[in-house]
Amino acid sequence: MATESGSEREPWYHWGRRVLYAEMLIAVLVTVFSLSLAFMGQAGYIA
Amino acid sequence: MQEKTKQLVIATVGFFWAFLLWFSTAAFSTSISSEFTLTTGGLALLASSALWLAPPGRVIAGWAADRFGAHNVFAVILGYSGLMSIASAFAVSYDVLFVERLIVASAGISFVVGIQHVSQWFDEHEIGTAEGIYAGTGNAGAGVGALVLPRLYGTHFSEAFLHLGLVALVIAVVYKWRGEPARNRATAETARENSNLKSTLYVWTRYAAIALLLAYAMSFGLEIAMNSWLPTYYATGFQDAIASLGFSSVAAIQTAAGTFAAVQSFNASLWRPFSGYMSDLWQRKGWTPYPFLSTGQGYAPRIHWLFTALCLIIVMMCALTAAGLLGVLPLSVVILAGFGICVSFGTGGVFAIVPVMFRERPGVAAGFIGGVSTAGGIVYPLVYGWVPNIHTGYVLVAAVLFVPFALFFTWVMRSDRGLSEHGIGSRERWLGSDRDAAAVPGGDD
Repeated sequence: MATESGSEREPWYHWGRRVLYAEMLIAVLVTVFSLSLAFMGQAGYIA
Repeated sequence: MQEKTKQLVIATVGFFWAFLLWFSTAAFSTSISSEFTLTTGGLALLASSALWLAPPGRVIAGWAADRFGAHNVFAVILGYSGLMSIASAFAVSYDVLFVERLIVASAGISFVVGIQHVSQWFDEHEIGTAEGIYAGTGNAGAGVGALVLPRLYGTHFSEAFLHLGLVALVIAVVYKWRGEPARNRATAETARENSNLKSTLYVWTRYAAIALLLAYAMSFGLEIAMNSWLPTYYATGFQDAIASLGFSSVAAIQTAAGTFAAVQSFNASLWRPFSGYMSDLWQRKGWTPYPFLSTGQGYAPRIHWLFTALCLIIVMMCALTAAGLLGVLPLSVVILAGFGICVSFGTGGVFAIVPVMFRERPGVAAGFIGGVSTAGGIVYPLVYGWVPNIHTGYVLVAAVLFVPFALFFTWVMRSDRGLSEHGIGSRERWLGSDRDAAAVPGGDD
């Protein structure tokens, strides 16, 4: 089976991965916020 | 900054704003309803209208991106939707506002233009990550719009529409000014030459394109269906549980339900780059765990990653129904987070394959796969609303639609035959025998 070649990392890939991690972190924070709402009913400023 | 990085940033910013335009009407639906005294039916019509133009619009936009260059097409889309958004700020009757917002919502067709744009700049080994960053960050515009716009503008939706339109015009000018259609003239010319009717029909008749279309309907079609359905689902299906948390007024229940629903939207958008990265990783490592899927294609590991995502989506649909039937709200929200992540695996997985599989026709293929599949956003909520028990809609959609879709995907992707042989009519039938000589070495397209 042939896999794609030329996989040397270019400069953009490093910041691209940081963007990727940052976005995942935001998603986790939104989830945690919603979960705290679901468990405790404390909506803070959104209520 | 590398030129391709610049093009990725331009496309991502453009798509983020287009998504903000697309879902900005929904963000102010309560205020619009109050201003024009809409009925519940009228409100539902306004909400669903955002999706009407996506299927045909994306097919045309994808073809146009190949034909005229992504920078031109994206600038036109942002230009007319921005002008229409400004006009909608001054609408005095609901009928005029409805038509104007319908046209503004068509900004969502720009997705396939950006996919084509990014595919013309990035190499195969990094295409999953690049397309993931573009599409995931852009899709987050919907969630950001829902959370930020009402807090920034309150009930002054006209002011918001005016400002969103003005910024869209600025981005349109920048896109046209600094955007470049491809890394070199030959790449752009190949796409342009392959944007004729026969070439389009060739793509539409490939079984692999249809399988990817269904996979995208299972993921992105599901994502936008859930965006519009989940607030209603939580407000209705968990009314007692939400009330017991202290949210008693209609407005408070809606706010709480909307916050739970945002879990899906944010996870489905923001994990999408990770899915593209995983597709690149599986490809790099050569992982092909499923013996019943092809291992002979050059992009086989990416197919195996996508199949994993499709199976997970089906499992999470069943889990969502189970949590609903148990009536445990926190469990449902936890599953919803996992559900959003699995959906993102599907969306990111599909568009890590499309540009690789259709290297000569990225816009036409993206338009077909990314366009027709959005019909799922209209169909699934109809099923959810049709079943007597509000919780059972998910398992019904999974059993009746998604399992057959996944089986068709398996049947198509188990074949080692290339695209040219595996479809309705041969490559020669659609393109003529002379095209074989011009095929990109190593590519199926």
